[in-house]
Amino acid sequence: MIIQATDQQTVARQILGEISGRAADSIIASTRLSDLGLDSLGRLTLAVLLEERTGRPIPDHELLSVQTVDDLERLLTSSERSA
Amino acid sequence: MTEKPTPTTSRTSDPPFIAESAEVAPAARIGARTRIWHHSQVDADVRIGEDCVLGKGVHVASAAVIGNLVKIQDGCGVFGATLEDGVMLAPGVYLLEDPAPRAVNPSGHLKGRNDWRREPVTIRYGATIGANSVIAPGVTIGRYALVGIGSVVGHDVPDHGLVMGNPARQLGWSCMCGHRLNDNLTCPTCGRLYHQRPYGLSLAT
Ligand SMILES: [Zn+2]
Repeated sequence: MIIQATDQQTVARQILGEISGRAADSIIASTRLSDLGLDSLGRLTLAVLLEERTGRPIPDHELLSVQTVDDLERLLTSSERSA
Repeated sequence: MTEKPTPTTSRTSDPPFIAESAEVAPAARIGARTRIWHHSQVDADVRIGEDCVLGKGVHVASAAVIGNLVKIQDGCGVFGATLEDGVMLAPGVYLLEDPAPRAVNPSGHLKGRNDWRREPVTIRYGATIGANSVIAPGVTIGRYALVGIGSVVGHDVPDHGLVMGNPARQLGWSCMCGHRLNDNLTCPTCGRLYHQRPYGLSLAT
Protein backbone atom coordinates (compact mmCIF):
# COMPACT_ATOMS: atom_id res chain seq x y z
CA MET A 1 0.00 0.00 0.00
CA ILE A 2 2.81 2.40 0.84
CA ILE A 3 4.50 1.61 -2.44
CA GLN A 4 1.26 2.23 -4.32
CA ALA A 5 0.79 5.56 -2.58
CA THR A 6 4.33 6.58 -3.54
CA ASP A 7 3.66 5.63 -7.15
CA GLN A 8 0.54 7.74 -7.19
CA GLN A 9 2.43 10.66 -5.67
CA THR A 10 4.95 10.43 -8.47
CA VAL A 11 2.32 10.21 -11.19
CA ALA A 12 0.21 13.08 -9.81
CA ARG A 13 3.13 15.43 -9.17
CA GLN A 14 4.77 14.60 -12.49
CA ILE A 15 1.61 15.43 -14.42
CA LEU A 16 0.96 18.59 -12.39
CA GLY A 17 4.55 19.61 -13.08
CA GLU A 18 4.09 19.10 -16.80
CA ILE A 19 0.87 21.08 -16.93
CA SER A 20 1.99 23.95 -14.70
CA GLY A 21 5.57 24.12 -15.95
CA ARG A 22 6.87 23.76 -12.39
CA ALA A 23 9.46 21.24 -11.21
CA ALA A 24 7.67 18.13 -9.89
CA ASP A 25 9.75 18.14 -6.68
CA SER A 26 8.61 21.70 -5.87
CA ILE A 27 5.03 20.43 -5.68
CA ILE A 28 4.16 19.22 -2.18
CA ALA A 29 1.11 17.57 -0.63
CA SER A 30 -0.35 20.86 0.60
CA THR A 31 0.01 22.64 -2.77
CA ARG A 32 -3.35 23.79 -4.07
CA LEU A 33 -4.17 23.11 -7.71
CA SER A 34 -5.34 26.70 -8.01
CA ASP A 35 -1.90 27.88 -6.85
CA LEU A 36 -0.42 25.97 -9.79
CA GLY A 37 -2.44 28.22 -12.06
CA LEU A 38 -4.61 25.38 -13.38
CA ASP A 39 -7.46 26.84 -15.39
CA SER A 40 -10.31 24.78 -16.85
CA LEU A 41 -8.18 23.59 -19.76
CA GLY A 42 -5.45 22.62 -17.28
CA ARG A 43 -7.96 20.61 -15.28
CA LEU A 44 -9.16 18.87 -18.43
CA THR A 45 -5.57 18.00 -19.34
CA LEU A 46 -5.02 16.71 -15.80
CA ALA A 47 -8.07 14.42 -15.98
CA VAL A 48 -7.08 12.99 -19.35
CA LEU A 49 -3.39 12.46 -18.48
CA LEU A 50 -4.22 10.83 -15.13
CA GLU A 51 -6.56 8.37 -16.81
CA GLU A 52 -4.07 7.61 -19.56
CA ARG A 53 -1.20 6.96 -17.19
CA THR A 54 -3.03 5.15 -14.39
CA GLY A 55 -5.37 3.28 -16.74
CA ARG A 56 -8.36 4.07 -14.49
CA PRO A 57 -11.36 6.26 -15.19
CA ILE A 58 -11.72 9.20 -12.81
CA PRO A 59 -15.33 10.41 -12.52
CA ASP A 60 -15.77 14.17 -12.93
CA HIS A 61 -17.46 14.62 -9.54
CA GLU A 62 -14.47 13.05 -7.77
CA LEU A 63 -11.95 15.29 -9.47
CA LEU A 64 -14.19 18.33 -8.88
CA SER A 65 -13.76 17.99 -5.12
CA VAL A 66 -9.96 17.90 -5.38
CA GLN A 67 -8.37 21.10 -4.07
CA THR A 68 -4.86 20.08 -3.03
CA VAL A 69 -2.20 17.67 -4.26
CA ASP A 70 -2.92 15.61 -1.15
CA ASP A 71 -6.62 15.32 -2.14
CA LEU A 72 -5.56 14.15 -5.58
CA GLU A 73 -3.15 11.53 -4.29
CA ARG A 74 -5.76 10.18 -1.87
CA LEU A 75 -8.24 9.93 -4.73
CA LEU A 76 -5.78 7.99 -6.88
CA THR A 77 -4.86 5.64 -4.03
CA SER A 78 -8.48 4.91 -3.20
CA SER A 79 -9.41 4.30 -6.83
CA GLU A 80 -6.44 1.93 -7.09
CA ARG A 81 -7.61 0.03 -4.02
CA SER A 82 -11.13 -0.37 -5.32
CA ALA A 83 -9.98 -1.32 -8.83
CA MET B 1 -33.68 45.91 -45.09
CA THR B 2 -37.35 45.47 -44.30
CA GLU B 3 -37.41 47.43 -41.08
CA LYS B 4 -40.36 49.77 -41.04
CA PRO B 5 -40.29 52.83 -38.81
CA THR B 6 -43.71 52.25 -37.31
CA PRO B 7 -44.96 54.48 -34.51
CA THR B 8 -44.98 52.55 -31.28
CA THR B 9 -47.64 52.78 -28.62
CA SER B 10 -46.23 50.27 -26.14
CA ARG B 11 -42.84 48.64 -25.74
CA THR B 12 -44.15 45.18 -26.60
CA SER B 13 -45.51 46.38 -29.93
CA ASP B 14 -42.06 47.29 -31.30
CA PRO B 15 -41.78 45.09 -34.38
CA PRO B 16 -38.97 42.65 -34.88
CA PHE B 17 -36.28 43.50 -37.39
CA ILE B 18 -35.76 40.91 -40.10
CA ALA B 19 -32.96 41.32 -42.63
CA GLU B 20 -34.07 41.14 -46.24
CA SER B 21 -32.07 38.00 -46.97
CA ALA B 22 -33.44 36.13 -43.94
CA GLU B 23 -36.26 33.65 -44.49
CA VAL B 24 -38.75 33.78 -41.67
CA ALA B 25 -41.89 31.71 -42.23
CA PRO B 26 -45.02 33.87 -41.91
CA ALA B 27 -46.42 31.46 -39.31
CA ALA B 28 -43.34 31.71 -37.09
CA ARG B 29 -43.92 33.86 -34.01
CA ILE B 30 -41.24 36.47 -33.43
CA GLY B 31 -41.29 38.75 -30.40
CA ALA B 32 -40.88 42.50 -30.20
CA ARG B 33 -37.48 44.02 -31.02
CA THR B 34 -35.94 40.67 -31.94
CA ARG B 35 -33.41 41.06 -34.75
CA ILE B 36 -32.83 38.35 -37.34
CA TRP B 37 -29.80 38.93 -39.53
CA HIS B 38 -28.68 37.95 -43.01
CA HIS B 39 -29.43 34.52 -44.48
CA SER B 40 -30.99 33.19 -41.31
CA GLN B 41 -33.94 30.80 -41.59
CA VAL B 42 -36.78 30.42 -39.12
CA ASP B 43 -39.34 27.69 -39.79
CA ALA B 44 -43.12 28.00 -39.43
CA ASP B 45 -43.59 26.13 -36.16
CA VAL B 46 -40.93 28.11 -34.28
CA ARG B 47 -41.56 30.61 -31.47
CA ILE B 48 -38.98 33.26 -30.59
CA GLY B 49 -39.38 35.75 -27.74
CA GLU B 50 -38.58 39.45 -27.37
CA ASP B 51 -35.23 41.25 -27.63
CA CYS B 52 -33.37 38.31 -29.16
CA VAL B 53 -30.57 38.47 -31.73
CA LEU B 54 -30.05 35.83 -34.39
CA GLY B 55 -26.78 36.37 -36.25
CA LYS B 56 -25.93 35.52 -39.82
CA GLY B 57 -26.87 32.11 -41.22
CA VAL B 58 -28.75 30.75 -38.21
CA HIS B 59 -31.34 27.99 -38.77
CA VAL B 60 -34.11 27.55 -36.20
CA ALA B 61 -36.33 24.58 -37.01
CA SER B 62 -38.56 21.78 -35.79
CA ALA B 63 -40.82 23.65 -33.35
CA ALA B 64 -37.98 25.15 -31.36
CA VAL B 65 -39.08 27.49 -28.55
CA ILE B 66 -36.81 30.41 -27.69
CA GLY B 67 -37.34 32.77 -24.76
CA ASN B 68 -36.50 36.46 -24.38
CA LEU B 69 -33.06 38.11 -24.49
CA VAL B 70 -31.49 35.14 -26.25
CA LYS B 71 -28.38 35.63 -28.38
CA ILE B 72 -27.71 33.13 -31.17
CA GLN B 73 -24.56 33.93 -33.09
CA ASP B 74 -23.54 33.20 -36.68
CA GLY B 75 -24.10 29.80 -38.22
CA CYS B 76 -25.93 28.03 -35.39
CA GLY B 77 -28.44 25.20 -35.93
CA VAL B 78 -31.27 24.97 -33.39
CA PHE B 79 -33.40 21.86 -34.02
CA GLY B 80 -36.43 21.55 -31.80
CA ALA B 81 -34.65 22.84 -28.71
CA THR B 82 -36.12 24.85 -25.85
CA LEU B 83 -33.98 27.86 -24.90
CA GLU B 84 -34.97 29.73 -21.75
CA ASP B 85 -34.43 33.47 -21.36
CA GLY B 86 -30.91 34.87 -21.48
CA VAL B 87 -29.28 31.94 -23.26
CA MET B 88 -26.28 32.51 -25.51
CA LEU B 89 -25.13 30.27 -28.35
CA ALA B 90 -21.70 31.28 -29.68
CA PRO B 91 -20.99 30.86 -33.42
CA GLY B 92 -21.35 27.41 -34.94
CA VAL B 93 -23.29 25.69 -32.15
CA TYR B 94 -25.58 22.78 -33.08
CA LEU B 95 -28.41 21.58 -30.86
CA LEU B 96 -29.48 18.17 -32.18
CA GLU B 97 -32.68 16.23 -31.62
CA ASP B 98 -32.53 12.85 -33.40
CA PRO B 99 -31.00 10.15 -31.16
CA ALA B 100 -30.98 7.60 -33.99
CA PRO B 101 -29.99 9.55 -37.08
CA ARG B 102 -30.41 7.72 -40.39
CA ALA B 103 -31.15 8.99 -43.87
CA VAL B 104 -33.25 5.90 -44.61
CA ASN B 105 -35.59 3.78 -42.50
CA PRO B 106 -35.08 -0.04 -42.25
CA SER B 107 -37.30 -0.60 -45.31
CA GLY B 108 -34.97 1.50 -47.41
CA HIS B 109 -37.08 4.61 -47.83
CA LEU B 110 -36.00 8.11 -47.02
CA LYS B 111 -36.72 8.75 -43.36
CA GLY B 112 -39.70 11.06 -42.95
CA ARG B 113 -41.33 13.00 -40.17
CA ASN B 114 -42.99 9.91 -38.68
CA ASP B 115 -39.90 7.72 -38.69
CA TRP B 116 -38.26 9.24 -35.70
CA ARG B 117 -38.81 10.31 -32.16
CA ARG B 118 -37.74 13.82 -31.21
CA GLU B 119 -35.48 14.23 -28.23
CA PRO B 120 -34.69 17.92 -28.26
CA VAL B 121 -32.16 19.76 -26.14
CA THR B 122 -33.13 22.06 -23.27
CA ILE B 123 -30.94 25.03 -22.35
CA ARG B 124 -31.87 26.70 -19.12
CA TYR B 125 -31.78 30.37 -18.06
CA GLY B 126 -28.56 32.28 -18.66
CA ALA B 127 -26.45 29.36 -19.92
CA THR B 128 -23.76 29.87 -22.56
CA ILE B 129 -22.66 27.34 -25.18
CA GLY B 130 -19.14 27.92 -26.55
CA ALA B 131 -18.33 28.22 -30.24
CA ASN B 132 -18.54 25.10 -32.39
CA SER B 133 -20.00 22.98 -29.63
CA VAL B 134 -22.48 20.21 -30.32
CA ILE B 135 -25.16 19.22 -27.81
CA ALA B 136 -26.49 15.68 -28.18
CA PRO B 137 -30.24 14.94 -28.34
CA GLY B 138 -32.10 14.95 -25.02
CA VAL B 139 -29.42 16.78 -23.04
CA THR B 140 -30.35 19.51 -20.55
CA ILE B 141 -27.86 22.30 -19.87
CA GLY B 142 -28.43 23.85 -16.43
CA ARG B 143 -28.99 27.47 -15.46
CA TYR B 144 -25.89 29.64 -15.99
CA ALA B 145 -23.87 26.61 -17.07
CA LEU B 146 -20.89 27.29 -19.33
CA VAL B 147 -19.89 24.93 -22.13
CA GLY B 148 -16.32 25.52 -23.33
CA ILE B 149 -15.33 26.05 -26.95
CA GLY B 150 -15.56 23.04 -29.25
CA SER B 151 -17.21 20.70 -26.75
CA VAL B 152 -19.31 17.63 -27.49
CA VAL B 153 -21.86 17.37 -24.68
CA GLY B 154 -23.60 14.02 -24.24
CA HIS B 155 -24.76 14.32 -20.63
CA ASP B 156 -26.80 16.82 -18.64
CA VAL B 157 -24.87 19.71 -17.12
CA PRO B 158 -25.85 20.94 -13.62
CA ASP B 159 -26.72 24.57 -12.81
CA HIS B 160 -23.52 26.69 -13.03
CA GLY B 161 -21.55 23.66 -14.27
CA LEU B 162 -18.43 24.42 -16.34
CA VAL B 163 -17.80 21.68 -18.88
CA MET B 164 -15.37 21.31 -21.74
CA GLY B 165 -13.90 18.77 -24.15
CA ASN B 166 -14.93 15.80 -26.26
CA PRO B 167 -16.54 14.08 -24.52
CA ALA B 168 -17.30 17.09 -22.32
CA ARG B 169 -16.24 16.78 -18.68
CA GLN B 170 -17.13 18.99 -15.76
CA LEU B 171 -14.04 20.92 -14.70
CA GLY B 172 -15.53 23.39 -12.27
CA TRP B 173 -18.30 25.92 -11.75
CA SER B 174 -19.09 29.20 -13.41
CA CYS B 175 -20.50 32.41 -11.95
CA MET B 176 -23.49 34.34 -13.28
CA CYS B 177 -20.92 36.86 -14.53
CA GLY B 178 -19.17 34.22 -16.66
CA HIS B 179 -16.02 33.69 -14.61
CA ARG B 180 -14.86 30.46 -13.01
CA LEU B 181 -15.48 30.02 -9.27
CA ASN B 182 -12.62 29.26 -6.90
CA ASP B 183 -12.41 26.25 -4.54
CA ASN B 184 -14.66 28.01 -2.01
CA LEU B 185 -17.40 28.44 -4.64
CA THR B 186 -16.79 32.19 -4.67
CA CYS B 187 -16.29 34.27 -7.79
CA PRO B 188 -12.86 35.93 -7.79
CA THR B 189 -14.19 38.62 -10.15
CA CYS B 190 -17.53 39.74 -8.71
CA GLY B 191 -17.41 38.14 -5.24
CA ARG B 192 -20.70 36.22 -5.49
CA LEU B 193 -20.86 33.15 -3.23
CA TYR B 194 -22.66 29.91 -4.12
CA HIS B 195 -23.93 26.82 -2.31
CA GLN B 196 -24.01 23.25 -3.52
CA ARG B 197 -27.48 21.92 -4.30
CA PRO B 198 -28.64 18.55 -5.61
CA TYR B 199 -29.02 20.02 -9.12
CA GLY B 200 -25.79 22.07 -9.10
CA LEU B 201 -25.10 25.42 -7.47
CA SER B 202 -27.29 28.31 -6.48
CA LEU B 203 -26.51 31.76 -5.12
CA ALA B 204 -26.00 31.85 -1.36
CA THR B 205 -28.67 34.02 0.21
ZN1 LIG C 1 -18.81 36.50 -10.82
